[in-house]
Amino acid sequence: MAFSVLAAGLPPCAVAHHSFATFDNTKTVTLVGTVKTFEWTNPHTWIWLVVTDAKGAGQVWGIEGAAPGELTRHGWTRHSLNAGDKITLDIHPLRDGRAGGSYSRVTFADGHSLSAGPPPPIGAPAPPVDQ
Amino acid sequence: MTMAFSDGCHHIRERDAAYRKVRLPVAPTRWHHDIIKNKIAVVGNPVLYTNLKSARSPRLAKRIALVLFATLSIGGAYAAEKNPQGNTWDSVKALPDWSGVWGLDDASFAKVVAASSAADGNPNVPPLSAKYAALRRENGAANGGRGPDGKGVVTNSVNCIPDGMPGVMIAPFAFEFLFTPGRVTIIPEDNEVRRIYTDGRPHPDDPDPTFMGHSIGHWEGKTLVVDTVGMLTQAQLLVGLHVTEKTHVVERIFRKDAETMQIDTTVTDPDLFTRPDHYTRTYKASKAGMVEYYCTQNNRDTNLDVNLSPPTN
Repeated sequence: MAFSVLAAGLPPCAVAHHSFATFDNTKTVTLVGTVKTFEWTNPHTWIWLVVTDAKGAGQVWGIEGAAPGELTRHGWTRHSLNAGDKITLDIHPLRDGRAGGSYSRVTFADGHSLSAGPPPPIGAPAPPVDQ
Repeated sequence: MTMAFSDGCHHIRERDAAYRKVRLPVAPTRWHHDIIKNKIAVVGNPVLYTNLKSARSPRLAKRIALVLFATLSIGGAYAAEKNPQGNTWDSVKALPDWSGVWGLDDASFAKVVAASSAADGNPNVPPLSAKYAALRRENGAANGGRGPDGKGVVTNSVNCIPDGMPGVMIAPFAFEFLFTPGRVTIIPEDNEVRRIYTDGRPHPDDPDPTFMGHSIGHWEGKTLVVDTVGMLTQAQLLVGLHVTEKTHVVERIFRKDAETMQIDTTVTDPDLFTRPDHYTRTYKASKAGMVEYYCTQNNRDTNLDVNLSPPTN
């Protein structure tokens, strides 16, 4: 299965540089594929993932994530992903429908996973008010 | 341009003027001449500031030295022990330990998201005036940050423009503090360096507007109180919301516990807000250290036209 869509109602993700809305944060798409390149770069990291559809055709997805600094503080290193890794990726898709999105979690073949940032859990109440 | 300061700045200027009027009869010593010769403002009292360069005659210079000496002699010793201002290396040693690297925690980040992109009426949204509430609806920030065309709001950072003050302090970049005599420096990962002068100087009357504004500070015990004005109107408060020429930021920065720094911020602006906007953000100690950030390295999001051409190497 190439991907499935979960209507998750997720809060905005860690790609804080944006206005939180370039990607559809109300949807989580799960991609299964093979890492082509992991760009450990600023202002954002990028996972270039080859996803094979039901007919066997491969498509490269470009999936953007938090900056190296933010990921480092969540336990990542530049070696967290390597070309050839087979992974499952939770993403919020681009609103324009192209093969891109922002990633929120990566799960590896052995079952362990890494969170890509600080979104509160699904269904979390609104944050406390300052005033 | 003429900067229109809010009330918070007036009291600083008045206070400064009051201290310049201090006159105390103390005989000069060689030490005074050293001060004059080296043009060093030795400040024992946290709020005394005297620009020795303005001493146009030896007599005036001597008088300034007298004021300095008297302040040090009478109030300085007490002040140096009880309320160090970090204006000498010895005084710096008496400041609290803020070493390490600090990053906005997840709970605070969630508040920033809510304040940035929630609809009008959400209690996290600042108390915007009608004009700016309308602007925020127009540019789409108030609609979950979806922007006018659903693509999102083009923020400063999307185009690698600095956030500026006060937005930089609620961005997901870690920062570190440097203490040197007369100054606290905050270095965020994205290189928007903040220079906070703690030597008692006032704000300039007509500062050139900058992204970081002009910051002066003083210590109240272990809390650094920072007063910032003079930001460029390009500087960002939140997604879809920029400062005005009247924006005035006061921060109270302190170490809450071993693992946490806290900044209580008050932003006043008679154009933007119907009342001062108060918010509290906390920052966790990061063992990962500072991580380099140069936005122009691989920015694929200019104007939110996301570039999906895969890298060639």
